[in-house]
Amino acid sequence: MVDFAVFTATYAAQHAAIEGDPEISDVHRAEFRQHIEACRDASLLYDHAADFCHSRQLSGRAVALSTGERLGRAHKRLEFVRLIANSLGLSHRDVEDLLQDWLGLGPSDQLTEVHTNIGHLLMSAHIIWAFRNETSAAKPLTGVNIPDLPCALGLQYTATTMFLFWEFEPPSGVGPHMSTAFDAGMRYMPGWKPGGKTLPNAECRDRYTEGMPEVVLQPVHFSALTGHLRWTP
Amino acid sequence: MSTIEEWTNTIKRALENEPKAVPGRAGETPVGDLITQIQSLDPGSDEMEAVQRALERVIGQNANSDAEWWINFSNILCLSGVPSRDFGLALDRMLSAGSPAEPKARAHVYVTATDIGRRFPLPRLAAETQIRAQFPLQWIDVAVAGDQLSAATDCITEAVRSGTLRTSDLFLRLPGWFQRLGNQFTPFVGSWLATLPSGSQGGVVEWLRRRGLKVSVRTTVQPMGGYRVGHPYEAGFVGIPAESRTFIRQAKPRNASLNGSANLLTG
Repeated sequence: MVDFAVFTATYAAQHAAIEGDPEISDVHRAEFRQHIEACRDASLLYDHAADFCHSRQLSGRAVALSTGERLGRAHKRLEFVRLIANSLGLSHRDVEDLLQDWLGLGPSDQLTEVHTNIGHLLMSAHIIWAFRNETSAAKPLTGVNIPDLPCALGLQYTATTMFLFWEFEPPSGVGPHMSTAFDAGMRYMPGWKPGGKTLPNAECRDRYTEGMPEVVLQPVHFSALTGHLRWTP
Repeated sequence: MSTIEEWTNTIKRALENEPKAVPGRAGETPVGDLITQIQSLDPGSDEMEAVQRALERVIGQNANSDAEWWINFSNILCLSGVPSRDFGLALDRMLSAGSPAEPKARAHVYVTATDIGRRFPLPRLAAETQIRAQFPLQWIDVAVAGDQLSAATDCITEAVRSGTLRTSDLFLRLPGWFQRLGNQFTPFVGSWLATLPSGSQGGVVEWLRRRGLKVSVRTTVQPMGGYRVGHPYEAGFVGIPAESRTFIRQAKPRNASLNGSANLLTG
C-alpha cells in the first residue's frame, strides 16, 4: 500500500489543488485519500489517482446561465480532425478538405453544413470544458481576441498548435457545473485554479489578470452549435 | 535524444492508452499528444529517423491488430509529419501478405497507404471483394485516389442500391473528391448522381450550387467490368458555365493553406 505522504510529495501541485478547492466536499477528499492509500504500487500512483478524479467529475455545484446565454469552446484542430475522421471513417485528408470547405463558406451555410454532417457527433465523449463571456453572453466569441484565447484559457500548446473555437447552447437537461480539481484531473490540475475562472498562461497573464469564467458539462452534440467555426492560424 | 527502443515504447503506450483516455480541456488525447511531439521534431534529424524506425517496428509487431488500433496508428502516420514514403510500400506489402485479416482494419490500412501516396491498381482493388461489399466508402476512396473513376462509380451505384451507402457519407467526401479530381469532379458526380433518391440528388445539387458549381446528370451508368482508365467524363462538362469550368480546372491543390479568408472553392 502507498502512504498518502508519497502522493503529497510526488504530486504536490495536484495535492494543493485538491486541498484548496472549495467545490470538493470533505467526504470526497477523504475518499480520495483512502483511494490513494489503497494503491498497491507507487509506480501506478498517477493512473490510480487519475481514475479517482475521472470517477468524481461534474461534482461541482450547478451554474445558472442567464437567459439566452451560450458557451464558448476551444478545441485543438488536430484533435478535431481526428475526432471527425475516426467517427465517420474518413481519412484525415478528407477531413482537412471538409474543414477547409466549411471555413470557406459564409457563416450561415457553414453552420448548416456542420449541423447536417456532424450534428449527431459528440464534441467529446467525456466532459466538455467551456468558457463564458460576461460582456457578450449570447455570443461568447464576440469581443474576444481569438488568437489570445488559448493563452487566456490556460491551455497547453506549442508554437504550431492550431485551435478551433465555437459557440454552443447547452441542450435542456445538460446543466453546466463549476469545475473542480477532479474535473481537471491529474494532468491539468497544475494549470487549473479553483473559483470558476481560468488560470491564464504566464505569457498573457499581464493582459488577462482575472482569467475567464469557465464551466464543465456533460457531453454535447455538435448540433448544439449556434455559430460558425473560428480558428487560430 | 530518445532511442528507437524508447520511441517504440512511447508509441505503443500512446496506442494502448488511447481507448480508455479521458480527453483534456481542449480535446487532448494520448495519440494526439504523441503526434504533436513528433510534429515538433526536425524532419531530417536523427531523432525523426528513430521515430521512423520505431514506427516500422510497431507496424511489424501489430500487423494483425483490429480496426480501432489501425485507425489510431494511421492518425500518427498521416498527421505527425513523419516522412512516410517508405511506409506506403511497407503497408502495401503487408496487405499483399494478407495482414491485417479483418476487413474493416484492412480497409483502413488501404486508406492510410493511399493517404501517404500509395496507389493500387484496379485488379488489386477488385480482388478486395469483402472490403468493397462491407466498407464501400473506403474502397471508393482508394479507387478515386487511383483515378479509377468508372470503378468508383459502379461501387457507389451498387452500394446506394443495396443500402450499404448513405447519401450523407457521400456528402462528407465531396470536398476531398473535389480537391483530388479537379476538372473531373463534376463529371464524376454526374456519373452517379442519378442513382441517388431524388431528395438526395437535390441535396448534392444544392451543395454544388453553394460553391458556384453545376453538374450535368448522366442517367446511364457504366456497368461493372467496364472500367476505363483516364478521364472518361469530359462530356459531363456540357452545360456547365464557363466560369464554373474555370473554377474546376483551377481547383486549389490539397496543400492550400488555411489562412482564414480563402474561399476554397471559388478561389
